[in-house]
Amino acid sequence: MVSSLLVDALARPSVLLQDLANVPDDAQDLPARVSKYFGDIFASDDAFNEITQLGLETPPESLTPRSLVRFDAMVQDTACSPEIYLSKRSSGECGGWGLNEHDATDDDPSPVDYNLLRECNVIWAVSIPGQSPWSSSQGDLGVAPSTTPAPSPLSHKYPLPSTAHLGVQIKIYDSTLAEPIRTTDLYSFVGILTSDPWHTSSETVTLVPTIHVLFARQIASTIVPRAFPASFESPVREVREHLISWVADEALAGDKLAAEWVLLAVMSKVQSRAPPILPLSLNLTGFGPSTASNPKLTHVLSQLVPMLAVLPLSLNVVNSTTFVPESKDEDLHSGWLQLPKGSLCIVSEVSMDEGTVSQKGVYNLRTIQDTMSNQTLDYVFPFSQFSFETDISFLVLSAGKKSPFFRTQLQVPLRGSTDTGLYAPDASLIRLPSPETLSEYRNLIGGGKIANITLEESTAKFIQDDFVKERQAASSKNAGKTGDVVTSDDLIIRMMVAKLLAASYHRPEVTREIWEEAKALDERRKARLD
Amino acid sequence: MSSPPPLDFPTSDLDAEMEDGTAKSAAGSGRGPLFLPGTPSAAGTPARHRGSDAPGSDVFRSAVARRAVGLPATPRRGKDPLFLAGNSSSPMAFPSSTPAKTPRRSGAQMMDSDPLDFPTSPATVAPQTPRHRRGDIHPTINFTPTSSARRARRNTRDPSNLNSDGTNLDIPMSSAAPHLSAAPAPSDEPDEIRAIWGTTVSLSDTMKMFRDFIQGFKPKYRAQYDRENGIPTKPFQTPEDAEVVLYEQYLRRMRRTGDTNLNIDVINIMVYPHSKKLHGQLIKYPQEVIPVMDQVLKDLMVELAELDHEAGAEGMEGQEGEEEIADIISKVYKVRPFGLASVNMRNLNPTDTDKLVCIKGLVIRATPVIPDMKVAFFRCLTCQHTVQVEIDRGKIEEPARCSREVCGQVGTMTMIHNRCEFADRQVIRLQETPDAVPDGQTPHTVSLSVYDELVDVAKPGDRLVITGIFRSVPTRVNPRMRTMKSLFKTYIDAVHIKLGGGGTLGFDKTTRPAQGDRAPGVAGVGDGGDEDEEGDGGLSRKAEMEKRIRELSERDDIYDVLSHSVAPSIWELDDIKKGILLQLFGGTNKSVARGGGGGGPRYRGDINVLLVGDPGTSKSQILQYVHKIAPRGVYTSGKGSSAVGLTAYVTRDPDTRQLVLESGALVLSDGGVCCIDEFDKMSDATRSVLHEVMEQQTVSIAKAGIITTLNARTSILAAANPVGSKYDVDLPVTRNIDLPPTLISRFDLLYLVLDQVDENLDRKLAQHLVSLYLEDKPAVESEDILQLPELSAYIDYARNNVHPIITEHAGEELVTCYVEMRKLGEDSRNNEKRITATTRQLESMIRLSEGHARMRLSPLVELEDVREAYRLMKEAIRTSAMDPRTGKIDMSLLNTGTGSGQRKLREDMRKAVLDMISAGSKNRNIKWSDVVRQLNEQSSVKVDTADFNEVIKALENEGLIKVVGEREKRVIRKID
Repeated sequence: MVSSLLVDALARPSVLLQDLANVPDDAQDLPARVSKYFGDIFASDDAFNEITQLGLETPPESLTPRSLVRFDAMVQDTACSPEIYLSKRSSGECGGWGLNEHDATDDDPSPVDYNLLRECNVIWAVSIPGQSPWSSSQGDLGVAPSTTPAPSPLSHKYPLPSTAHLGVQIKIYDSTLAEPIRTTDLYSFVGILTSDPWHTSSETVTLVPTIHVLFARQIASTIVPRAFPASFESPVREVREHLISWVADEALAGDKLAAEWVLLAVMSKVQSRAPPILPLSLNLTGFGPSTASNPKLTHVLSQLVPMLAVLPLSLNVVNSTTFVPESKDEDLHSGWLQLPKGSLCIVSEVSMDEGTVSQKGVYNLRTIQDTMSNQTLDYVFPFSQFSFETDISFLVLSAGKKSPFFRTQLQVPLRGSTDTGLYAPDASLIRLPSPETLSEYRNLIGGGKIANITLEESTAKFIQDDFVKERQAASSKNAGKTGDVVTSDDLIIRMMVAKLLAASYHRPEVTREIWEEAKALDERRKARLD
Repeated sequence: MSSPPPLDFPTSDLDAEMEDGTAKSAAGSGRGPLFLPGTPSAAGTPARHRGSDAPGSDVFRSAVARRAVGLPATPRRGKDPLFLAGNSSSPMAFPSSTPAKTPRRSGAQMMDSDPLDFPTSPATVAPQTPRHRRGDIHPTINFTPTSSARRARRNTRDPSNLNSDGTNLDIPMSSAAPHLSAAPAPSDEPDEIRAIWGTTVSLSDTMKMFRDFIQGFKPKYRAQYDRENGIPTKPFQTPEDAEVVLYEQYLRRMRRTGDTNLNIDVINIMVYPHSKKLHGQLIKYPQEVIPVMDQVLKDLMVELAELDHEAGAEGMEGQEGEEEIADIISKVYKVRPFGLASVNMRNLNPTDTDKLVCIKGLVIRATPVIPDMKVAFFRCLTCQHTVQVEIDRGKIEEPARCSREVCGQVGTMTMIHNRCEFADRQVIRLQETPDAVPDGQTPHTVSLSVYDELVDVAKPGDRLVITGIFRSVPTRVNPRMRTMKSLFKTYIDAVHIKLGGGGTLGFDKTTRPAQGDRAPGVAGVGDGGDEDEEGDGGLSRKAEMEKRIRELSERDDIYDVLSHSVAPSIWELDDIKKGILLQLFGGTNKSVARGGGGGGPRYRGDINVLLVGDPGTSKSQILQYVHKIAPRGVYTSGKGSSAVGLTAYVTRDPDTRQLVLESGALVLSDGGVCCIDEFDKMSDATRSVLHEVMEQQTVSIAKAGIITTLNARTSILAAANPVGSKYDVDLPVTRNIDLPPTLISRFDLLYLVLDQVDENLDRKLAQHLVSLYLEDKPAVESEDILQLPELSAYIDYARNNVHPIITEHAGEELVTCYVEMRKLGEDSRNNEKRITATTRQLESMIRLSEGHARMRLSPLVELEDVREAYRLMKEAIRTSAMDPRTGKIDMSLLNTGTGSGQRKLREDMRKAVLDMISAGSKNRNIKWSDVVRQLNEQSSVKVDTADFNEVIKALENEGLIKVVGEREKRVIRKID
């Protein structure tokens, strides 16, 4: 019975929808019933995975109209005007979900019953920017991005310019579902695929793929579900150790310290807004000028984190592309930084050159810095700006001794020990560990990202004492003059590092050992700065 | 003239009227080419003349009419076809008629009858409609001709008229336009109940209520309502003020000013006992009720004018008055309701369709004026028969065939463009204002159609409060597809616009030309005075905010609350926070009113603050925070900044070959706070520009052959690191800070933020930070602090509304304090390299006191303000003016952390050290380390190095001892 229902729902969703509408039920609004009904049918993961997934391999054009599809997407634009539809046709048929829209009787004389009008929310959703292929449930086939990207009709609504992606208009009929949706949220939208016009202020009407949503599921920021603390085949310390050496060997010319910092930076996230406990931004310096190819680090990290956006700063990119979403003619254009929460953004300065930065460029650079230090992104609307909270970890790669543009909380000069280069033209030069090991690595990082680290009273006391002691020691040594007195800023960074360190060990608590290790790690980093 | 009366009475279908019309137009066409375009004035004159006239019994009117024929003003009015069709139930047509004109006019309607000739004809109704043709209202029903309705009512008041034409008029009205769903009936026809379709709302009741309202509303009703709802009101100046018949006054004013729009606050309708029901009706059925109101308004205008004319009121005597009346009759009056409680635009839903709603928003786009066809004029190519078709729900129905039966040809009707009627229309896109958008949401937009007078009132960027009718219309989405009837689009037909609604960013009135700018009341009379704009529907958000701010300002500890709210995550530094708080409030800008050059020099009210201190002391955090709350805050790093210019260069540092960014410092944060980090790293050239900015508040630019001066009225909050990155307490301030004293002196407050090692402080700090950053749920700040938006609103409010004036007492205190401060300078023995109080400091003190008064929202600068300003200055000057060799000032006072216990400890230590030195009298030199060791032996607690340093320094300063040597080899020598 259930399975036949499942088959029906997969094959003929419109019929099921119509049937559902024909069963009157005053207790609940139809849209709410639809969400529940279809949500129940596909409640199990197996059933859910049966649904055809929209992707670059299965673009909307390849599917028959009105088939049931699923689209894992980032919400790009929620500023579209809602649509009003007639919930019941004069003939008694149900309206909405693109049903019975085409009325043959062109001159319907009967006046419209305004009580039957309902609202439907329209949003624009795009493929998750920077999603690593392995994290997509379409399977880790190691497919190189298709050589001929199907041009999305509204490519200005995708954060990463000239990247293959899908953009789909989403129509949500259930207002309880639509209400909590914010920009950059990640959702799996399940619904009926059609091709509808996209409303813009311009005269030309474009038909865009449209999903009339039956139900939707939110996607976790790690994309693949993770646990903390997770269980590992081998001891977590070993996994961690191997992971660090792998990153160091493959991407950072054997620099394990830098690799460890990268690991910590990748796992950091927004923990609190007031007081602001924001992700640590890390600047890896001394990369040397680029030779037109990408830093290996981007290839390596894309194997480890679910969402990775690489922002290759060059004068051209800075001066001529948009970094923040901007509403032009009531259409919200995307920008580089409109990334889902939990993303990693690698800002690569290595291909920067001398030249003039235009006003727009200055604004763009400032925006990155602001996003880095405040974790908010200001969307530009006519005559107003709206600030949106983000959660993006930043990793800045600089060619020289320090970043000319950004101030990060952490700075680690690279000290390669081997002479393997830092750059590689493509990912094929990276030696991948066995799939099992790789999945352990991902598990470690993903779990660390959702970790919630606590602290015992005694450890808190220990840390306080330690801080006081250190300051005393430093000041007596230098008699209150110049010298490396530990400042409160140092303490803050150390504490954040300690938390991340605990997370990287999948330990739910900061202990004395971790505190000492965090201090040592920070000392080693500082030692390199001098 | 030609159609027999019986035909008119039962006109229940169009055909009958058509016939009627046919007959007439046949006659017309026989008469000649007057049909054709080009004769408007000829046609107009008699029309007006007819329209303004009443059945012979009315003396005034016939007189008016007679005069009107020959009046020079006539052609102008005559051109107005609205009017043409308007007052046309007069039998005057018979005597004066030039029949040729009649048919032309008859062409004015679909129902080609000539109503002028037949006052009793029901067709009269049709020609009346154009008078209600407001773009914003699309009534589903047509209404009784205004003039006849007016006369009918006049008749009820005036029995003599009733006999003469009352019967005549009533009959047609009751049978008016039977094919329509409803029509108002005169009240003296009780059998006939005309109601709004689908409801029991009687239009005649509605008319009566509105009439009552206009004639009976007095401000006292509103005052009572406001009192009951706790809305602050202005007290009436005299008891009579409460008793005036407000709207009659407005009507008279409209007559005088020639305004045709009456803005009516719906709250007033609600609070007036006799019109309470009307309020609900108006909101539910605006399309029906507003035209009724328009009509009543016009009737009343005319009545009032006639009354005044009879009474010989000023400007209404004799002929002048009659002209005035004729003028009024020719006009189209519009009621514009406003004052509904505004709803968020995202809460508008389909159930609001066709209801009156009120929303606020920001204009983001406005189309050019669109000529909107109201009436299309068609002519039959075969028989020259003409037909006018009115717009109906956005559509004009093109007649498929000639309506004249004789002709009846299909497809011969062509549109004559220059005979069509157009009205102004404009489509505006309105976006939610930032304060109305739910957290984390993107703003929504709605379309707005504005018509006639409201066109071009709002410009992009304006904030509006719109009262209008919400509409849903089926979309014709895609020409390539069949019509999708199940999709609708929504928009609002604006009936009233108010500019500058809510929010803190009201439009700058000075940017609009004084002339022709009717904002914010927009077009018309009746907003109730010019200043009391705040009464829009209960306590507005702004008023609420203001109330809350006022309440806050009355707290005794407001100063502490506010200063703690500045950068709450930063530990201590209370005085610095206070200084910055006052900087945010700012002093008042002053200019000398008298003196040469029209205004004389301008004295800045902006307060500049400089923070100098050790790295890692949260200076940057403070700056970042201020940048967030300050109006037009700009944050820049001094390194590699150029003072002016908005572009930047990426260059290679010639020494290191590293890339560096040279950015514009954007000092043009005019009217805001410019936060400059790493002030010391700014190039000298850039800093020299700041000299100008900080005192003259201008920036001079010489670039590409252009020399110009720009305003830079900005406060500067700068942070600098000491020379050698760590503050050396042994050196004077000026040597610690690598800034020219001229520049330093331009800062009102200079704070040293030193990283002092102090066990107690450190422990507290660590506790604070550990709980903040490591514990799961950061301890919520127990003290009550204002959240950022609230603080920002408070500052904004104070800056905009409070301009304190210095009282005499405060003035005296300022003088005393200044003198004291000067003395403080004299006190030292060596005044080289020291900053003494100058008049600059006096000015600073004035600004700070003003800022403090402003913070209290006090209109006067009082004693306490000056005292606090003096205290802050002293705190700041004390540290900046301190010379280590004369240093009377205890460094540790800087951070409030030094407890009295510690001071006691130092006192003891001092004694011990002196004893020690005196004891070793043989050798006046004692090794530094020895002293420390000995002290440690004596003492039960470990000797704090910092304390010890302080003690030694103090002794040295007093001239009791002298320290010789460096570092570990230091030797303390006693001086006799």
